[in-house]
Amino acid sequence: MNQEISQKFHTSNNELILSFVSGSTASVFEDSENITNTYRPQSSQLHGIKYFNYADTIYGFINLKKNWDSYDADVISINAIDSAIEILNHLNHKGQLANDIAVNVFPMRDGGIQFEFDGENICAELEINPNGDSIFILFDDDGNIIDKGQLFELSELSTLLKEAEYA
Amino acid sequence: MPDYKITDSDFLYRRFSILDEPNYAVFWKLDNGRKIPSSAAFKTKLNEDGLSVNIAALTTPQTTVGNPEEFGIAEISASTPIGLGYDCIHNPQPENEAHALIVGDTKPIAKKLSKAITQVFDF
Repeated sequence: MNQEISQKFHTSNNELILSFVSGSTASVFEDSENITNTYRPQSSQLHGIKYFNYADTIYGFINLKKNWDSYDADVISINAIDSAIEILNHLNHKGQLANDIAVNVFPMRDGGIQFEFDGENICAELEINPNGDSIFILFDDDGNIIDKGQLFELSELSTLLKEAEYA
Repeated sequence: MPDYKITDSDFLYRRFSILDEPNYAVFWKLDNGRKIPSSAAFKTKLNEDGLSVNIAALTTPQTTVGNPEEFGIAEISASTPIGLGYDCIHNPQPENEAHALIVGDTKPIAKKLSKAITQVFDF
């Protein structure tokens, strides 16, 4: 079955391409003829490895079958996977996979996908619903909800993460 | 017919997926160096009556886990959902006498439940 890839959020012209270029590991070997080359992977390369690990995980959710959690969980929707990849590309492009915030991504029982952001000054989740809509939730240290709202632009996510981190 | 009254002193078991490749349904994450399941494991779906759990006093982690290659067990104190205003009721099933429900939509308290885990059983 052919799946048409949809784009949930509006992104800038070259954002998707830039995220791949800036995250590429290929440049580690860019001067392979020079045996004295002491070039080491920099943060952008490690950043790229992280990016591909997250992308691999998100695409892996396609394999989950109905009842994958033994409590009647739903199949992860293609809309949620498309949105999660868009969000991942945006976070990568903005360098927000490489800072001090730990990012985790999980399947949700209702067919959505959840990002979790944990750092010294931030505890937040981004729930991507099966229809691709995204809800950002900010918590205090005890897990109480401080703020919650739907995201309409990807740039809102970067702003919210920055604001929360430096609040 | 429910005949076990769940109180603050009870503990509840919730299964969570630990499947890695190719499905990546791993609910683990590190929280202050501690491996804990994501809050996603504690969120009800729309139209569910509540979150399924087992009453620790009526079963064991080994019985609850079913397939230990696919699942782990998170233990939480019943005092956490009860303290947050959620009813916890015994809801025995034909093949699971220990089954119970944390009644209602648990999405608003899923983060608190994941932070309140008292023990994880990984077989």
